[in-house]
Amino acid sequence: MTPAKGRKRRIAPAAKKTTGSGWVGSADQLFLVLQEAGDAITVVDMSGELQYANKAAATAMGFEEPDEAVRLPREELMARFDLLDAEGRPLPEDALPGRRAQRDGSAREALVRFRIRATGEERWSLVRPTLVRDADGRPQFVISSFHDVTALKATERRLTLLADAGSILGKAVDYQESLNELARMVVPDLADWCVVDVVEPDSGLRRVAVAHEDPDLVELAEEVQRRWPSNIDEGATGEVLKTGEALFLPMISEEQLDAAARDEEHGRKLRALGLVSVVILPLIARERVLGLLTLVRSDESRAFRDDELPLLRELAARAGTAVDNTRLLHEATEAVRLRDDFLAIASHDMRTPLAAILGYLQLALRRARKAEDPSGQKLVEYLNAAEGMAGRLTDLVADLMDVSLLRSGRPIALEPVELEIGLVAERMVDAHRRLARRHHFVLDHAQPVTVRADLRRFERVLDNLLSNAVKFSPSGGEIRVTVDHKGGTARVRVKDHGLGIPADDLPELFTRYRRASNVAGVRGTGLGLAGSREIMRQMGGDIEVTSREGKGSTFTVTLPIVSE
Amino acid sequence: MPGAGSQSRSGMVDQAPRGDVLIVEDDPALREVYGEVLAGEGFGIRLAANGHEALDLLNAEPEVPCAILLDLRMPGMNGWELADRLHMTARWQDVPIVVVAAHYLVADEAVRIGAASWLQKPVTLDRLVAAVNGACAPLGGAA
Repeated sequence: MTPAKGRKRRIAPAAKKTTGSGWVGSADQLFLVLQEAGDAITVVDMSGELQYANKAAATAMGFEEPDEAVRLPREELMARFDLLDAEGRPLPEDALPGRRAQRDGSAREALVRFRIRATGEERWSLVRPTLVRDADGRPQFVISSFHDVTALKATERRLTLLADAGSILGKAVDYQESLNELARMVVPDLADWCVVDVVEPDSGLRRVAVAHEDPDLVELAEEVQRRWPSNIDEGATGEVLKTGEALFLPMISEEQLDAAARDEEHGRKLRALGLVSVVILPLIARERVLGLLTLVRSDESRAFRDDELPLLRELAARAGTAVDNTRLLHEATEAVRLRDDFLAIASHDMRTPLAAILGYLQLALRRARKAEDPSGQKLVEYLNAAEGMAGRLTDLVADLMDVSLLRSGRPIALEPVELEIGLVAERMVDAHRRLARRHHFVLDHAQPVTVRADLRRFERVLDNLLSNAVKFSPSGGEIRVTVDHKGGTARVRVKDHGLGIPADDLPELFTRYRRASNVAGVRGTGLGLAGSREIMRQMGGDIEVTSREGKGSTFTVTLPIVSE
Repeated sequence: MPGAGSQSRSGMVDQAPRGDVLIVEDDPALREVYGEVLAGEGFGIRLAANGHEALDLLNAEPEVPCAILLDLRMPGMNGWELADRLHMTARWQDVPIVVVAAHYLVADEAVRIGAASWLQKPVTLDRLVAAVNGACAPLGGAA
């Protein structure tokens, strides 16, 4: 119970004569001491009726003056409170320390929670009873002193809450689940409502947790959110997301509710939710706002106070860290998975040229053993083919090295020279013409076009595009390569009539590891296009694509022309 | 044009023709290697770069091959799809399939599509020849 605020009156040390009771003053003064004591003191007679309450006791019971309390019959007085034990369970009146003292003289102190029904205010008191007997030992009355430990308890509960929140959030593998658990934990002790929203990189604000003791109200809240979703860049939520500052609305006015309501029905439903006192806190980690923690109390007597903000901020900070950690964990896991996929596909891709090298060498050996082919013509052919395949394998490894450099954000060491790109294109087209006999290659190359580029890398980019054109037009057809220039930019266009690329896949086509969704059966690391674009950009050029699914694709490589 | 790059060759050594082997493999170098070595063993060779080409060849020839060498991952119609089609057609459902693929679970995949045997790339030519011999001369037939 609230200590009487600084109203302790000085007792005049008049004559220091005691009356044998350790008191030098008058009986009136002694009464004053009792009346003004910081702890609440009550006297209850053996029938349970309140005989005396000092000021602190009256205030604690919600009265202006002690007399108001004393005048009330016991039942009426007790009806003003809910009695709870330390764990929050209802406490029968008989179990109150004063009642026990009445029965058996027990002076055992106990922690009691009083909830004033009228206001909902809750106080924790350490209650010490004393049974007073007359000279013959007959019980006369019980004195109870109530030491208010509400503030102490609040601190203790804050620490417990943070510790619990820490252990819930610490094990977070899936933040949705832990935020839900957190929301359920803080309701109804810390707030009547706990709502958590998380900002999704693509889709805006997503509600991940709604907790209230009443499932009907949770349903109502979900309906409100569905029909009038909170906006990521508007209103209170938008403000908190933008500024990263908590929004503290200790007492929401009718006007504020009206202003927040988008229409009459929305307003009605918002009122039904019981939005009385609201705090919206940003979930922040590494200086980014990752979401919102909204706490609501529906009871004016429990309106949020300024001094609670540090605790709430700490809670939100922990939730933010948990969201961040689980996201980082997810990203790391995803990166490992992508790397494993990549290794699986890369090793798969290497098996094909390796198989061909092995095959040609074995063909050559078989011939050599059988001493056929005295001219050695076939032998040379097979060995040449094996050498060519070993070259392909070497290129593949060089590609992987380049891409691994590009992936880690390091530039590759280019060796630019002046090139006539028509000649390079012609050489690459010839090579593919020999390999893919079902395809009809056409090269349009009207005039020389000179650029500065790394020859080996530029060849690989073209090789990649030609391989793709062949690979993704499995039924053959024309592959047209056009070399020209336009406004200071050299262009090589590779046009096929193959599977084409679904429109949905186009934006991601040059993203590493991604492959179009309609080519699941076609082998490849999916690195070619991403690596090619990076290389072209490092050389001052680019690659672009236009495509229609089922009709074919056109890839255009550009490079700045070397001025004459 | 489907099947344009496919060809049939007779045996290169002095031996009676031993039946045809259909090679379904998208990599041109590997098609050439498999074709050369099997032709050297006296088999007739038909080459296809994917399932579509393989079906075209099978439809075009009245004679059923004695074995099909089958890669799994191929653009167009892949090996799994071709195997399904072969199983659905009475004429072809008994032709033994030898899976030759780089798939890391090639054995499982081969069993799944009901192949007679399987080889993982890279493959030695001796084992390739042995697998085709086994497929084309079943039950102690005179090879």
